[in-house]
Formats: sequence, structure tokens, C-alpha cells
Amino acid sequence: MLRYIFRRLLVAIPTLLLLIIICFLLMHAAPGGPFTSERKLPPSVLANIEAKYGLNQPLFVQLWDYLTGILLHFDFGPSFQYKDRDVNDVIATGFPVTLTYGTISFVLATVVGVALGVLAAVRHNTLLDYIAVGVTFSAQALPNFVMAPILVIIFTWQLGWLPGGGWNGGQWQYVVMPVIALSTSYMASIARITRSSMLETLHSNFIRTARAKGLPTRKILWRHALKPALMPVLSYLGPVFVAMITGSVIIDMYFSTGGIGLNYVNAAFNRDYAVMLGVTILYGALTVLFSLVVDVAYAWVDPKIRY
Amino acid sequence: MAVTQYSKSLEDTAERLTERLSQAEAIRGRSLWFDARVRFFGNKAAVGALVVLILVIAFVLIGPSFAVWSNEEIDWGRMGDIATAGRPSIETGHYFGLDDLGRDLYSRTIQATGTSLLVGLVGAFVAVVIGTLYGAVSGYVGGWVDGAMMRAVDILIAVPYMFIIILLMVMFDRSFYMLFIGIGATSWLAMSRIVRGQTLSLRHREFVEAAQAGGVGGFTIIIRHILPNLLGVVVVYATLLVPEMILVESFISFLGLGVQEPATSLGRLISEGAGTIAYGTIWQLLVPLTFFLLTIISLFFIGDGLRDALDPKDR
Amino acid sequence: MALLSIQDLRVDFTTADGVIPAVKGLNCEIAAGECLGVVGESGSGKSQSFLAALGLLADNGTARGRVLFDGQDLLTLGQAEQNRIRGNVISMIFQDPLTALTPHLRIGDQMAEVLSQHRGISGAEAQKACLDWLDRVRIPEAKRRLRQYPHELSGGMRQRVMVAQAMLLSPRLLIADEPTTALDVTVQAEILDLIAGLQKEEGTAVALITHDMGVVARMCDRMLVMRLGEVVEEGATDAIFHAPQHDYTRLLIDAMPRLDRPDRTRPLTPVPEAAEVVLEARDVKVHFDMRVPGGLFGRTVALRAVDGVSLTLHQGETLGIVGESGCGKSTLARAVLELIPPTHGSVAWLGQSVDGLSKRQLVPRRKDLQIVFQDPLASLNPRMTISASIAEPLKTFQPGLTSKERKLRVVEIMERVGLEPALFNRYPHELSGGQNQRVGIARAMVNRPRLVICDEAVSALDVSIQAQVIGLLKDLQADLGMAMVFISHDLSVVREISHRIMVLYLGRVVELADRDAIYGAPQHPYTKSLISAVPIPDPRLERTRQRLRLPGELPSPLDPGAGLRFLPSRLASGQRDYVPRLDQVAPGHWVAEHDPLEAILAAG
Repeated sequence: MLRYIFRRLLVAIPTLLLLIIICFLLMHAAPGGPFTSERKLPPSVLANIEAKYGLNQPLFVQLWDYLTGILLHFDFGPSFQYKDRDVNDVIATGFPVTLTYGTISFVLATVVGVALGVLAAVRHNTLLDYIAVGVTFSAQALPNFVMAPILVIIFTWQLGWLPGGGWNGGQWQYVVMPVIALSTSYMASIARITRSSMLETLHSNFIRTARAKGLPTRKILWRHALKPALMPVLSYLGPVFVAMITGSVIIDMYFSTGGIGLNYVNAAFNRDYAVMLGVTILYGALTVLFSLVVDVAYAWVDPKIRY
Repeated sequence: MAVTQYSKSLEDTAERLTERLSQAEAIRGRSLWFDARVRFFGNKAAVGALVVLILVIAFVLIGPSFAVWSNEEIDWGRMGDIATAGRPSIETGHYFGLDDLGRDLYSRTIQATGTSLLVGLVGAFVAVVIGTLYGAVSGYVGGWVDGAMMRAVDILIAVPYMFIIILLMVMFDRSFYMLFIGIGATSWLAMSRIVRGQTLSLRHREFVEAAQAGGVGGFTIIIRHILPNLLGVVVVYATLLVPEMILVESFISFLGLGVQEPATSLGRLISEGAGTIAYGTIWQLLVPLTFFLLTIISLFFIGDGLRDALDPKDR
Repeated sequence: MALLSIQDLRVDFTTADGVIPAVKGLNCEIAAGECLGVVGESGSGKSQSFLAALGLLADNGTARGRVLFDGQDLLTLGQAEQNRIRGNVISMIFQDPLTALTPHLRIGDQMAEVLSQHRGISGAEAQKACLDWLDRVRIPEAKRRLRQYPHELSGGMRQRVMVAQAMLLSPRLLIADEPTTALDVTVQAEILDLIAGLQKEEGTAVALITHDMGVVARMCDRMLVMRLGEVVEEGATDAIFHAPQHDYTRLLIDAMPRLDRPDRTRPLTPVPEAAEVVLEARDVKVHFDMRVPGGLFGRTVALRAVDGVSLTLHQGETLGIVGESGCGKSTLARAVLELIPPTHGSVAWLGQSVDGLSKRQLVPRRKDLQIVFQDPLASLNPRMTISASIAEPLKTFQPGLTSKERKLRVVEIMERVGLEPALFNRYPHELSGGQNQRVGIARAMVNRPRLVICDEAVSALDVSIQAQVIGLLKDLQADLGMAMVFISHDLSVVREISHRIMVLYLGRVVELADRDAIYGAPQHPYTKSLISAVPIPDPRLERTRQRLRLPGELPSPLDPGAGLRFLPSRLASGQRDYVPRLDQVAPGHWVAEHDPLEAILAAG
């Protein structure tokens, strides 16, 4: 198993490097630099600034500096937008917040989604199954940017139970709505995938064998059916994870949670390429890391995948 | 004498066969497509969804002829008091009310729904074309070409594409075409993986082997044997891609990075509506939201119905 | 009193096309310790009856009637009471051992589950009980197997695990649903012996569900013939085999190809003297690279699927190729057709070498060589009408034909292979398996080829259909004079149709002779063991037959030294890469070098 993980890590490294290079080049292929638009600066000032950030160097030198900065010092360079802050600093303030509600949402979507899916499959063709199918189907069409305003209307404006925004150090009242907004549609998707794969598993031959052994339903579900049924769900968790970190942009904007997504949007509007690049790479790295975790989980579920 | 008799019997045989053939051809077989159509139209949810979608499209096409106000006009007279005077009303001609700048929401909704549908269709189309070609080539050629092509997809899929789209939109000043390119580029990856997997399994099916053994050329095999069997999967995923593309575009628009004013899209309208609920103009959110949900949910149901129809399994 | 008594059992399935009756009133009894055979072709309802008895029907199935076990009606029991009976006093084994075991649970854990569920035994005691039974079903290295996953075991071993698991609590009734259908003949023989032995030692009653009359003849005291959900005949096995009362039973018995009575069927058309050589292959090898665990990224090992086979085939002749799974028979067929390029060796079609030709250069020569596949449905494009499939070779090689001429040719060949022209515009999914296989044959024959390769062409068909298709192939050969290569794992089928027969073992020829010599006087121990493993559908003969049982399982082709299983003396002297010689023991009778039988038995 360790060897398998090690091998997957080896493959992940070139992927990450390529990711950094692609993002870097894309950023620099942009028409106009960070200081060219909007505010008109005198040419001498502009040259000064560009020299300060190393933008006057040839592209590959910049790329090399950037790469070595990340690899040797874990330094993503200075921000273009905030004078005294560098990218590391920006990430260090926003990321913990995003990570907190992101993780909660992810766990919630997975656990509730799987539970709902299994329940619907076991009660196949009953009223409960039909309700679950109908609800999950519609809920899939409720992405975070739809959920956020709906939640605010209900819980803040109508009922007045929850604050409409802010973070407040992660007090639970402030976490509830971001988490629900972020997880609803993925919870529904996970439930649907779990249900159909569970149904398929329940029709397989080895389940029939387990029944022929006289095992009670509960045991058949837990010991025999759950693991194989989870396989398609596992491979879907990768995209879910990516979608959630992307969705955090909306959450930060709408609920003013102060997470990294807000920094990203601000950076985008202010053409702060350094922060955009840093955050993109951070999220890319998370994605790569997460697909590694999914692969390892896969090997754990399926003994045929060996290392 | 013997020869004429022989040719006579040949003629007889030919005649008899021709007769039987004409009888045979009168019977039409049920193709898999025919079966799928029957199954699809037997699925109440999918048919209902199809009707809803057709109604939405009809609204986009016919709706403008009933509009009193254009989507750019500002109703100065009611602008001061949108919360009360800007309510949806038949008398004022603002069937869906006014937005916070005093523009007619009816016309704007029609325009936004049109944009979203267009983005969905074009995005899905781009994804299908690139993804199918890429996947089919990779799967059929196989070997190291396949390995290299799929490795590239693995790497690209690790890129958080939503961020790349945002990047493109910022860099190219919210160009509509860039949006199409960006969305298309995000979505063909998954498509190509699916098509490649299908091609790979089709390539080793016995009927393809039979064609190869029968001397049928590689190109003809792809056209005659591989593509028609891929079509089912492609159709299903294309249908499911449309709502996904709409979602992506709405996400971008919600951030304020989508199409530019006065053009608008559903995501943008939802964003505006969400921003103004504090002023009591709840219709600004509810109207675009309704259209958004109707479109997305009906597309989901249609896609799911197609999947059941083309790939009958107990789900 | 009977142990199990089924009274007027009816099974219905509710589907989209309405309610479909699968079993229409079954009555039968099994006495303690007896073995009842339940025979029938696909769709006879034989499996569904017993699944229904155990309450294992699919969700859309309903069972009515009475199933009395020890006087207790199983159909009226609640879930918990049924669970107390299943796996405890009645247990069941299934056809496909690959999918019937839970893939992610270790063998030991799956087996121990039965003990803890019904007896509350767990831990070391359970471990010991499982180990005992694995030993009793003669699984080598039983202790290690407990920790393994199902996919790490061979098919035969998995089925032994199934048997051991079913026998753990010494049930009073064992239901075996096609327990050997997915297995090779030699493995089948061992599993059947195992079940027969357990029946005697433990006094377990056995219900053996099968489509194979030979298996019934070997195993059963009484039998039951089912067709379309109804029992057509019931009685003592001896009586039914020797004096069948019902037409369908007679048809089934007659359709079974028989090793012991070669003259029963119509004789083969003799091969003309000095017939032209249609196919010649010299020292053909096909090696695949296999990735196996080892090192950081795994390593590749050459899998020798075909390892030096030569053959010559004349106009009008049929060469049968037999061997067990993994012997390389299908790979050999594809290699001589150049569908898989051979790694080594030379191939000539119609006297012309095709070595080194590109795919494109091969195309015009393919007109005279055709292939018929095993799975009738999979070998037809589901989106093309059958006439379009049949017409494809015509389009490729006779593009000059008008569409009218082409249609006529298609209808002509359809009539020739026994397909109604009314099926012209039908799609494969609308046809039965036998009809689809006729379409495959029509497609292969439409250009009047000189050589047709049949790769397990009748293996997926029911016995009665199988006999018809073999008859058709023989007729076509008599008419068109083409040469055939007939590949099958079934020795009795091959005998019906082949002039000469080649026995393959792990990619090498072990024996090659004309059919009377192979079956009448087999020389190689492997051939002998294969022939003696085939059950003969005659209970009296079958029970008195002496069997040659070789030690050990069929080894994997990746096993070093597996190829020298019949030359233990060379293996002992360290010559692992030794290639056994082919000797001509009589004119046209070739036998691979082997040690005396005693030495081989001793080495195992």
C-alpha cells in the first residue's frame, strides 16, 4: 500500500509542476499587465514598478524565479494589489476559514448523500424511494449561488434565526448557511449516484450468495454491499471537492465569510495576478492531492487494485 | 438444351427470391433507436420535462412580441419607487415587474433565458465535438498515442478550470466568445474520457473483430460500427452537459464576470435579485430563479430519461 | 417422508411487458440423501424454481404453491425464519464462482460468517472449521487461501470454496445450480466427484440443476426434465435415459454429442485425395506482455499464449482444436487470420505467404477467410439490420454488385442457413441466440470463402440448437467444399465435426491425429485425462467408467515450468526451458514427448 501511495505521489509531482507552468504562462499571455489598465501611470513610474516586481525580465527568467521561489522557499511572491502583503500572507488569512466550512460541507454532503442513497436503494420502489428521487433530482439544480439568497430570505429575513453574513471566528450560527448553500446540490448528486450503484450491487450474484447463507439484511448491506456500491461515489468525490472549493468564491462573496475566495474575486477585479496565480496553484495542488486520496481510497475498497 | 434448362431454373429461383424479398422488406424491424423512443415516451417524468422545456423555448421565441417595454428602456416614472410601483402587473405592461434600475424584467428575463440556453447548447456542442473526436481517436488508435493523450487529460483535469475561466474573463474584458471558449474547454475533458472508454470496449467487441476479419477498412469500421454505437452515450452526456454549461455560465455571471450589460443571463439576474432582496423587490429574484430552475430541472429529467431509454437497466 | 417436497409451485415475474410466468406448477420431491437432477434448456425455469423455494427470487418475482421442508412450508416463513434455514440446513452453490463470492472480503472471512451467523462460532474455532473444510475440498495450501481474496484464486478453486462454504454446517440439502458450467472439463470432473463424495459421506441430499445430460447421468439417482416452466418427464435416471417417454426428453438425449458413439451422426464428407492446402502455419508464436507486481512500477513478463504451433489444412477438411481455458486456442485462430500479428513464425493462405504484409495488403486476401464467433449477439452490430450485417462482406469484396443483386444474394444465403427471409429487416436483439448464430454463419459464408474458422461457435447455444448448427455447418461444407477450423473446449462437439483434431496445452500441441485415433487410441496423458473427464450421457456406462485423474489444477501460463507438467524428469534435472518434441507415432499421429504416466502421477 505504501508503495502504491509513493508511486502515485511520484506521478503527482510532474502534474503539479505542469500546472504551475500552465497557469503562469496563461497569466502572462494576458493582454496588458497588472499596471497598464485603468489608472494611467507615467511611463517612468510604470517602469519602476515593473522593475520592482521583476516584470521587465524575460518570461522564462520570471518563470524560473517563480518556480524556485515556490519550491525552495514556498514563496508565491508579493501581491500587486496590497503594498505590504505578499501572496503567502493573503492565503494565510483567508485559507483557514475556507478550509473550515469547506471540510464541513464536504463531510456533510458525503455522509448525508450516501446515507440517503442507501436508504432509497434499500426501500426501492416505495414511497420513501420516490420522494428521495424527486427531492434529490430537484436539489441538484440548486447550486450555491441559488441556495445562498434563498437561505438568507428564509433564515435571516423571514425567521430572523441566523445572521446574514460574517464569520465571527467560526461561531456555529455563521457556519450553518455557508455549509448548507455549498453542500446541497452535491449532497443530492451523491445520493443519486449512491442509490443507482447500490441498486446495481444489490442485484449482483455475490449478494444472492450472501442471502443464501442466511445473513440478515443489515449484515448484507454493511459487509457485502456497501464497499462495492461506494466505488462510483468515490470517483465522483474528486469533482465534488473541486466544485466545493470553486463554490467557496460565491460563499465568501455572498456571506462575507472572509475566506480565500473573496481574495480571489478581489484580485480578479483588481488584476492582482500574483494573488490569482497563487490561489489558482493552491487549489490546483489541493485538487491533485485530493485525487491522490481518492485513488488510495479506491485501492482500499477494491482489493484487485494492487500496488 | 441442358444449358437453357439450367438458366431457366436460375431465373425461376431469382423470381421466387425476388418475390420473397419484396414480402420480407415490407416488415420493418424495430431498431434500438425505435425501442429507445418508445421507452423514452413511456417515461412520464421525462416527457413532462420535455414539454416544460419546449414551453420555455417557445416563451423565449414568442415572448418578445407581447413585450410592452424593451430590455434597455428605463421606466423613469416608476423608477423612484420600485418596491411598490415596480411590482409585476399587467396594467403597467411590466408583467414581471421592474428591476432596481427601472428596466422591464419581462424583456430582460426573455433575453437572459435565451442567452443561458444558447451558452448551454454551444458549450455542450463544443464539448461533444472535441471530446468525441479526441476520445474516439485515442481509444481507436490505442498504444502509446492513447497513453499520451489520456495522460494529458489527467493533467488538464487537475487544473481548477473555473479559475481559468475567471482569468480569461478578466484578461479579455468579459468577451462573450472567450466565455464560450472557456466553458467549452472545461467540459470536453470528461466527455473525452467517457468516449474513449466506450471506444476501447467497442473496439474489442466481436462484431468489430468480425468486420476486421471481413476486410473492412479502419475508417469504414469507425464510421459504420464504432460511431453509431457511441451515439447513445454521446447523446445522453450531451443532454446532461447542457444544464451543466448553464450552471457554469450562471456561476460566472453571478460573480459579475459574464456577459456585459445590457445583455444579461439568468445567473446575472439571480445575482442582481439576490443583491436587492433587502429592498423588498423579491420578484427580482423569484422570476429569474423560476426560469433557471425550470430549465435546469427539465434538462436533468430529459437527460436521465434518455439514459434510461438508451441504456435500459433497473435504476 | 420426503425431505423437500415442492407442490404446485408457480413463479411469475412482473416486467414492463406484463406478467411472465417462469414456472407453471412444479411438483417434485427429494428424499434424504438422494441426488435429484433437474435438467432443462435456458428458459425452462429450473433455476428459478429452486431460488423461489429458498426465497431468493429477484424483487419482481412472486412464488405461489407450497415448498415443504421437513413438513414446514418455506414460502410462508418470515424473513428471520428463512434466514435460519438458509446456509444452515439448506445451502446453495451457484454457477459463476467469479461473481458469486464477495470480491472485497477474504475467503476466510466470508466462510466464517456462516458459522458466526448460525452457530455463534467465531475466532480460532471458526478458523479451524473453515480450514478443515478447505482441506476436505482438496484446496492446496488451504491456510494461505483463508487470507486471500476471491480474484486471487482460479475458477476451479473458487468453486471449491463455494462448496466448502455451503457444506460448513453439514446441511441436509444442497442445491447446486449449474455448479460446473463455467469450468473446464477436468475441473468439472473433480467438482462433481467432490459433490458426489460429500453426498455419500455426509448423507446430504443434492438437487443438481444443469443443462448437461452427461452430468446428470454421472451424478443423479432420479431426474426431472423441465421445459418452458413445466415438467415434461420425471423418473429414475436409468429409465429416462434408456426409455424416454416424452419427445422433448428424447430430443435432448439425441442432441447430446456422444464420445462413446461416434457413428450415431451422419458421417463426415471425406477429404478428397491430394486436396489443395488452404492454410499453412509454421512455428507460430504469440507472446503478450503482462504487467505483474514487482519493483516500484511493476515489471512485464511475456505471456506465451501460443508457443510454437504448426498446422496444415486442406480443402474440404475440418481441423478441430481443443484445449482448456488459457491454452491459446482462440489466440491461435486470430494469429493465423493475422488479426493478432504473430510474434514469430510464418503463415500462408492458399499457398501464398502473408508474412510481413501490411493490414492494407491483407485486405483483398481476406475474402477467402472468414470467422464465426462464440457469442452470437456480441458478434453482430446491434445498430445494423441482420441483412446489412450479412451484406457487409459483399459490399467489401464485390462492390460491383447492384443493390438488387446484393439483396438477392443475401436472401439466398439466408434461406441456405435456415433463416426466414421475413427476418430480412430485423435487428439482432429481436432474434434468438440460434437465429443470430445463423446470421453470423451466413455473413461468413456469403462470399463462399475457402476457409472458415469457428471459434466456440456453438458453445453459447442450447444443446438442441447446438446440434442443428453443427448439422448446418457440415451441410455447408459438403456443398461449398470449404476448409474449417473448429475451436471448442467441448471434446464431444469437436468429434462430431472434425476430420483431424489437435489438442493444445498452454500454447503447445500435445497431440494431433485424425479423430478416430485421438478418441480411440489417445497417447498423451493430457489427452487421456481430457477424454476421461467428459461425462457420457448414459448412466450405466458413466458409472462404470474408469477415470484418469492428473494431479493438481490447470496451471497458469505465467507459471514457470508449467509447460513441463508432463515431463517432470526434465523439470527435476533443471531444464526449465526445455521444449517437448513432437513425435510421429503412427502416420499422421503426432504426440508430444512425455514421461510415463506413473512418473507424472508420482510427481504431482
